[in-house]
Amino acid sequence: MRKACLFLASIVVLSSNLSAINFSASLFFGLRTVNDSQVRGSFGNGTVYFPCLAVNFWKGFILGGGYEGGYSRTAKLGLYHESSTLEITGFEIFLGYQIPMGKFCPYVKLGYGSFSYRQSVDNPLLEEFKIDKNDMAIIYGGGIRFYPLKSIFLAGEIKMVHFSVSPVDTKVDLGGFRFLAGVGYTL
Amino acid sequence: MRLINRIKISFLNPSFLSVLLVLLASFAGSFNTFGHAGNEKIAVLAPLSQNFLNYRQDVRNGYASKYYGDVYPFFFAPYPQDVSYSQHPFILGTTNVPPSFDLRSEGRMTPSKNQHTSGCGAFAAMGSLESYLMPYEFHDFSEQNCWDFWVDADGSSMDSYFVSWQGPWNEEDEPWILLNNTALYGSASKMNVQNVLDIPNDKENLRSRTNLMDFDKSKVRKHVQNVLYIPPRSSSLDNDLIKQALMTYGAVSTGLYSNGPNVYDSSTHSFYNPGYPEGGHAVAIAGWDDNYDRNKFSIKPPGNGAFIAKNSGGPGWGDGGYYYISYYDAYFARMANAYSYVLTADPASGLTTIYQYDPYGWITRMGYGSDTAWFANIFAATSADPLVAVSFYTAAALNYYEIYVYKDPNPDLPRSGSLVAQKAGVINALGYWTIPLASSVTVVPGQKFSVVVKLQTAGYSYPIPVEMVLEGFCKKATANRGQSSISQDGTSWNDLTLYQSGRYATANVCLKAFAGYDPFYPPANFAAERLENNFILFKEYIDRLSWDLNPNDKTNIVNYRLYKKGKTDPESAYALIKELPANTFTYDVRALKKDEICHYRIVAVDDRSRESDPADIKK
Repeated sequence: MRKACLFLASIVVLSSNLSAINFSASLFFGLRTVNDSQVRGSFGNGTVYFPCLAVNFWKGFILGGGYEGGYSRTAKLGLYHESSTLEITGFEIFLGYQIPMGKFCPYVKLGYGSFSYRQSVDNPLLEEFKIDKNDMAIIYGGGIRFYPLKSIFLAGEIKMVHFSVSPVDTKVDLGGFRFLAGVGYTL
Repeated sequence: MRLINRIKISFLNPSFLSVLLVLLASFAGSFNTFGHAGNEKIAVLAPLSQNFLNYRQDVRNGYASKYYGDVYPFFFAPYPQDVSYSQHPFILGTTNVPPSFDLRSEGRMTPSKNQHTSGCGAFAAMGSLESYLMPYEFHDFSEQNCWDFWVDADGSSMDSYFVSWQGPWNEEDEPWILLNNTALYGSASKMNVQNVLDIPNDKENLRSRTNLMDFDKSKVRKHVQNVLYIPPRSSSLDNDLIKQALMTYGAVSTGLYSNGPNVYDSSTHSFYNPGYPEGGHAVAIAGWDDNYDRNKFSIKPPGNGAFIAKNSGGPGWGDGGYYYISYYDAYFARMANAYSYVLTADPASGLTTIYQYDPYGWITRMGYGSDTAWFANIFAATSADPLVAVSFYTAAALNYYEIYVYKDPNPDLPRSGSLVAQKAGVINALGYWTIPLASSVTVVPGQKFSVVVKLQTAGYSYPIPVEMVLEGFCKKATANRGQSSISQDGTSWNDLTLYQSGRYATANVCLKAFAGYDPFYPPANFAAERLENNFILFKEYIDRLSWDLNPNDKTNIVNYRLYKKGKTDPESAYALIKELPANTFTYDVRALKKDEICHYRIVAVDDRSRESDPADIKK
């Protein structure tokens, strides 16, 4: 997380020093799916928010980063139908390429994520079983910006997050699609 | 008058004199068998088995070496009692005998264990006892502890280890020990190698058994209170008693000779010894099949039919540790000097105190020439627990007994003092039997009491069971004045140690008394099922424990106590995890990790806060 913050700060610094570079900030909301059928069946798909900073540092290339949060679901699980909460959050950095086309600007991106996942069960007996771990994710996707005003844009983005984890001894795929819509500002 | 004259005349007749001489000679002969002293007959010992007499004579003549390496079915010498007289038919509980039966399919056999080089008698005995306790209880008893006793005792009855409450111990309390793949017998041999082997609890395990009256009872897991003796089979098809015993009680321990050319067919796991008296062995009979094909044997017996026996070669031997022994085997369960037997057991939590002078058990028998005799022991109470039962051996298929208990008897008169209990009954089998008194007898520690038995062993003239030193067999028995007495009529008594000028100075009668309470059986069918509780990202493991009310229990149970320990922890590590009400028969032990293996123990608790024997689960 510290690395991601440093990375985002460096983007801001870079963008403020280089007049040729434009900087954008955006906030996305949307749906996320869960690849693992057991997780999806129990906890379900969910919603996420994704604040993001990006810099167009050379020609159409953009470098950016953001934080995904908002997925926190509760389900009744196990032999005793005990209440369990699953929460997934993460930072991502990405490299993208955009093609300005008038008021539209489609882009594609490829990124790396550092995601946290936490699962707890509402039973003190299982306190030491609680999962609280980090793992890396690969992210790719694309979207399009629409500039109704000179600096303000609306955006839609679809991305895939590959996030397969083995917290104890079984492999669980916590990755999935993100269907996001957002609004942003370009300096 | 004419008759008298005729007799007078006859005195002068040479033929009459010859008849008189014959009568005098026969009187003298009968004196040797059942002699008289005044009006009282003299008690004598029962005849010894011919095998034993041959053995003893060989040893006396310096030919003991011919027996080295020969292991008799239960001991290192032939058993001294001749039991061939006892081939009377008698009926056990079950009379409807099917053509085949297998205790394995009823879940009433424990797995075969590997003796390696010796100890078969202990394995067969434990096989019988463990089977009797199933299916409600599963136990793995220590053959090593039993074998050590037998070896250290250097001559004892085959059931003395059990009925004197020396055992059984659990296997983990004294595991079977091997050195260079050879079984070790006795404390002495283990003492010699204690630095070589990693022997658990070695100091306790290697205890000397020189004083059997002072032994550690804390590890005795069951009290064997009854032993059924099954006489030798009188013919190849005289099998009903064994079959009835199998169905009624469980596995039957028996003896055979196991060596000889082609006696065992390893392809069919079948065995038939037509007449090679070599290689004494003991096994636990687990069933039978009347139609077992005679062609499956290497040497063809005259007909079909085989017993199914659990051997002590481990599960990798034979048919999963079992083999099929022809009904026509010349020695299987039909040796003249060995009973087959079934051990039964009560909870160790019931009877608390044993009063006995015969830790080496029933070595021989005495009688007055009649099938009825009296015998008695005078004990001093060592506990305030009430007297509740008496035990002794019966030597006939039909036995009538009367039991009397007196408090504060005169030292030489067992039937003096105050009569506080009496009971009469019939026992229709051979064996060792514990008879509950009609009502308990309170005693205070130190108080003397006598137990007197009048026993009629119908048709058999040696009713008194005796423990004593017997040359060539039992070497360690001891006795003291004021302990055991015998009587022909229950009126005139003789202290055994003084009887016949000290001829029986080491003799005690095999008559025990017990103090304590009702047996309190452990919960039945105690079992664990490992469950996975799937939380997707992790799994919790659960041991679901279940048990039943033991159908033998007459006690008012108020709750159950569950204990847990790690697999490798010592017994002392059992910790209480839950106390559950009496109407609960399942409990989930939660929050276990995948590799976390636990041992569990459950006891029932009654309304007197008494804990039952434990039931254990060990994986």
